[in-house]
Amino acid sequence: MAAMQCEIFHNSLGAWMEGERTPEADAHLRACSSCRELLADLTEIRTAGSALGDAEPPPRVWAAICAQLKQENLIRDHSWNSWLPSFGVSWPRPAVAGATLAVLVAGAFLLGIEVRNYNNMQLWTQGTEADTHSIRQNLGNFELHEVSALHGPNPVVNASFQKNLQIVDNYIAMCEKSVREEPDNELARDYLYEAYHQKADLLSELSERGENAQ
Amino acid sequence: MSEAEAIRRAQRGDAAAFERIYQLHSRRVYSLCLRMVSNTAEAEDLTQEAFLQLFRKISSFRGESAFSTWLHRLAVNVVLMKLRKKRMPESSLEEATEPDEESGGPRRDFGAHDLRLSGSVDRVNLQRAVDQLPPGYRAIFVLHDVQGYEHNEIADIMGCSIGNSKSQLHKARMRLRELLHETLRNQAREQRQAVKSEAAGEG
Repeated sequence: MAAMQCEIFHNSLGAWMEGERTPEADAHLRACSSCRELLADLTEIRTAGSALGDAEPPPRVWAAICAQLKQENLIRDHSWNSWLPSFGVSWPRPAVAGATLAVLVAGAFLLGIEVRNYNNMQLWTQGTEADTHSIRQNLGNFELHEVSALHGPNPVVNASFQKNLQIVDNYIAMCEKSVREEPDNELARDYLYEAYHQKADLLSELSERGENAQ
Repeated sequence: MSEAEAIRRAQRGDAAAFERIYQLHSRRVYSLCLRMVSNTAEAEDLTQEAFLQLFRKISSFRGESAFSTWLHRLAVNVVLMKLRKKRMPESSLEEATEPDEESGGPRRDFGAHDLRLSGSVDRVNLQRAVDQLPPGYRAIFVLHDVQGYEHNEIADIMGCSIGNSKSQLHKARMRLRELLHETLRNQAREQRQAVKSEAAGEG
């Protein structure tokens, strides 16, 4: 008789958890410790499930979608690197820009490897803060002293450059935010270094094109 | 830009509108994919595929169903197609006997639950258990318990009845309970063995 009652309760348990409760089920629950335990477990699972929560996709997912949409001619757009093929030929040549960027890119890459080798997470987090500070500073200095000196005659190209630089900066900011929120997420850290690389590459390409234009 | 405006503009090929739609829904779609496949690289690929399918078909969207439902139906189908191509992972559970007619997996007797889950279900254990669910159970558990969809929405997304959604969710939770109890038993056994080894070392 008791087993039958439990079986009936089990069959109505899903509905019970959805709020469809009956006096009979409530009475059985009060009397049966086994069914109370089952209910507690299922409630625990439901609660743990809701705590898994949402996650943010990395910026490169949108970049890949965007590239594919453009390839399929599904969008009309001037996306973040669309300015490069039409880059003007009259940019002034920045002094030692190529060399500076080469050092910068290599430095960022090497620092990334060095930081990834930390075994201790706290050390890693501190190391990330310390070492990315120098990368950020180098990028900022280069942008300030070299790139900001570039004022091409074409305002459309100038605006496009500023827009694309802003997009890369936003990407970096998102990656930095991800690392701060999830310091133990190795993928987030990789994306951050990749973001720095992208900016270095963007600036490097800019300076090379300026150089070629001379 | 509102979602309705973004949809109208995306149907004309406006890049900013595509981006707006992505901003509005990417977090939910990516999370769905991530919880379903438990692998960030695969989740990124699946998110990309779901949005590409969406954008390729967006000109045919006429608003018969909610846009987010339409998108999630696409995403679930993309993930289930992927999972069907993959072999189900081997179960680590012992004492397998007859196949379970519902899940296709082995049936086991878990009548005596000597450990309670209360307070012991962490994210890692739960995600591992979810990974072992059959894809259909997994989808409904993720949509309902993780993402908070109602059964009528899940019925639209999965193309099933509301009753079926409720029934599948209950079975999914029951299966998860079995898997989590097995994990706890294994962990308790490992602890006992570690204590024995330590005692033997001291002796």
